[in-house]
Amino acid sequence: MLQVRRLVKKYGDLVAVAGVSFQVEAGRIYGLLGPNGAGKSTTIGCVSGLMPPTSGSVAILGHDVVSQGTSAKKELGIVPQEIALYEDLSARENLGYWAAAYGLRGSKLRERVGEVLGLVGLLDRGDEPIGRFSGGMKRRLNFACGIVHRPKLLLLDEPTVGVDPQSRFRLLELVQEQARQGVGVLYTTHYMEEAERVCHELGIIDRGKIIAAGTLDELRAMLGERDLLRLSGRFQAETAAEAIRGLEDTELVQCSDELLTIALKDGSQRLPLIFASLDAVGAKIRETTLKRPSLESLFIKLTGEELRE
Amino acid sequence: MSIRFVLVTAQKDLRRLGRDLRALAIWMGIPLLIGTLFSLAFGNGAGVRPKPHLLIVDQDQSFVSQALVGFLGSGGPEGFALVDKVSFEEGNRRIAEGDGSALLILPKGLGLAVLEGSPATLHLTTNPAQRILPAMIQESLEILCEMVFYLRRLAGDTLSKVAGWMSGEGGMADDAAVAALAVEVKRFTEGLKPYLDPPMMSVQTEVETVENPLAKGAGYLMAPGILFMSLLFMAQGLAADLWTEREEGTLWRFLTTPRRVGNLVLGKTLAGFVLMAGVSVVALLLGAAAFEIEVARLPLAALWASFSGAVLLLLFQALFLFASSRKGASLLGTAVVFPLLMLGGSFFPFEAMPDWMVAAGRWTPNGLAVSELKAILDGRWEMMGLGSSFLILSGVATVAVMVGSWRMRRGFLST
Ligand SMILES: Nc1ncnc2c1ncn2[C@@H]1O[C@H](COP(=O)(O)OP(=O)(O)O)[C@@H](O)[C@H]1O
Ligand SMILES: [Mg+2]
Repeated sequence: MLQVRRLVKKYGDLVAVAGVSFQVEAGRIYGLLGPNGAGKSTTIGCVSGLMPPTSGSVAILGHDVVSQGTSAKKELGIVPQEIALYEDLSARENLGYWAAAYGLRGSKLRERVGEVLGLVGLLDRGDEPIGRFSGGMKRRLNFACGIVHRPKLLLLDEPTVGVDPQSRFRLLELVQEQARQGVGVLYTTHYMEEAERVCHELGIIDRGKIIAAGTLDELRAMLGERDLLRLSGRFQAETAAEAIRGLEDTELVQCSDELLTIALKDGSQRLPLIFASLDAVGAKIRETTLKRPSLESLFIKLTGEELRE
Repeated sequence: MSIRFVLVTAQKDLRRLGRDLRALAIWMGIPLLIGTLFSLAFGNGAGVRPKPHLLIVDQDQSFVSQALVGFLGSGGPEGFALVDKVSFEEGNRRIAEGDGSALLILPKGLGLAVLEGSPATLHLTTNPAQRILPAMIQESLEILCEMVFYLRRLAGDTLSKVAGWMSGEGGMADDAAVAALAVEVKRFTEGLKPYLDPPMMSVQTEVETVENPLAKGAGYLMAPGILFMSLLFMAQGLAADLWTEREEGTLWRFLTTPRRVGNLVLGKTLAGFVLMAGVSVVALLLGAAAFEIEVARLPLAALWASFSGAVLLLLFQALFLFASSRKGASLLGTAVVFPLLMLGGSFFPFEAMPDWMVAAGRWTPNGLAVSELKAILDGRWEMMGLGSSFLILSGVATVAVMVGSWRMRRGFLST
């Protein structure tokens, strides 16, 4: 349904996307998980035909986005990261306009607009100018505008940012509902829980590169059964590293004078041993966190950094 | 490009504009406000129906000419016309300054000619800035001449007597002299009878083409420029909507649809055209009432004004797409609008500009539009002139659409 091959996008000297490849199948939700600035929106921009790739290719249902843009865009629905709505128009008028942009008209258009309004729970507020809507309501309408023309491929760029918990829950359900109806979904987010909850497959993206990809289970397996231990305090990086490397079944993920990240089996049981070894080289530990295997710990393991919002 | 979708887009934008009542009121109010200011400044009050103001140079100083002056001025200030008796020099100067509806010159020998039944010519110079008032005067003079003609036919004797009085004796002439004159005149008229069927006096109307532009009436000369001043402001304001669409993210969304961006540009321009047509119609109706413009000329004038307004809108849209921010766009707009207003006849009418400035001004899109609008309102437009101006502006519009669409696809969103 969507084929992205070795996509590269540069803004001048800055390489925002550095050779990304993935594909999205009908009825599946593919997640791009990564921190701010990782290149998610840029990838969405290239997929939607908004910006020409520097190199590489994007094909939607076999239509190349650059050379067959119009055919490709017909199949595409987009829920942009920034809300994209006419503030002076009502929800119904906003939906009507975007439906018309995809060729719907007359009674078909009106029916579909009503249906989508119901879907996102805005039927009773459909005729108000949306200037008065809350952030969550606008987000839901923003989503509705992306699906009003029944696209085969849906692109969602961090659709739940700044949304209250109820709206977020509803939005995630709606996305899953789209997939159940056979729509292929590309879903970007920097929320681990979201990615773990809705995505069938995932690509973890950092600095324009997909650093790990696969199903949730495959990704968990990459981490092994190991926990992730993070220690902050004052260390001498060299000697601390030495001390940790001496231990069995531990892997030093990252090491500096303030922070140590260690992947290890049965973390909770082996904490005293670790403390003792570090104490022996004069390290002062201020804070300890131990994480069970998760996408987050995988991300930290892969990049040495936490996935910040 | 889909016409249906362009219409849908225009409808969408009209709705949005319709909800922005403040902007709408400002745009509708601009021509009213500016028009009122100018009419106050130039004393050419809109709505007050002026009386014809007739300047008469009586070079004859005869009984007949005095009677004519009296007749035209009868009824005092409430009467048909305000009449000022002036010297030849003063009359010419005042009509050249646009002070007065018409200048009537009663030539030496007029009185005698009337009485003798010989042809005479009245010279009437009209003020081209006023349409109906001079026509009223001309019409009245023609009626008057015919009256004189029939009077002569019916009462040749009496007239002859009058001719006698005029010959300088004062008081009553002696009977013999009057009788002799009467016989003389009668024979003369009799002899001319076959040739007298057309009125014996012709009134010749000369449309003055004076160097001083104010002769045409400052208000009338200003009005088309003022309309375009408000159209330019509207074009500037409406074009900024592209920045609104950018900020609201709707432009971004539009670019992800299969529609060509030209649809959006044209839809927006169509919405602007409709609004400008509304403003033009109101402004032209007010202008027509104030300056006595023939109503039949208004539809073409309104169409032309709103078409050129839409072209200006396209130009501003294309221009604004190259600004780096909304603020930059508005600064850019202001930097362009004022020279255009200056050159294009909105601050000073072309008639009051130095030649080089007029030449430059007519090459600005609004200046071109203003001169054609003037031609339409004066009833002197020609197919060739208007047609080629239309083609020029259409060409400008096409380039603006192409440049604007290109810029929207490339770069506008990422600046
Ligand atoms: N229009 C642009 N011009 C220059 N740099 C950009 C532009 N858009 C994004 N970037 C840069 O490209 C990188 C990727 O950005 P983006 O794709 O928005 O990341 P994400 O959506 O994952 O947060 C960032 O470093 C960002 O600063
Ligand atoms: Mg982003």
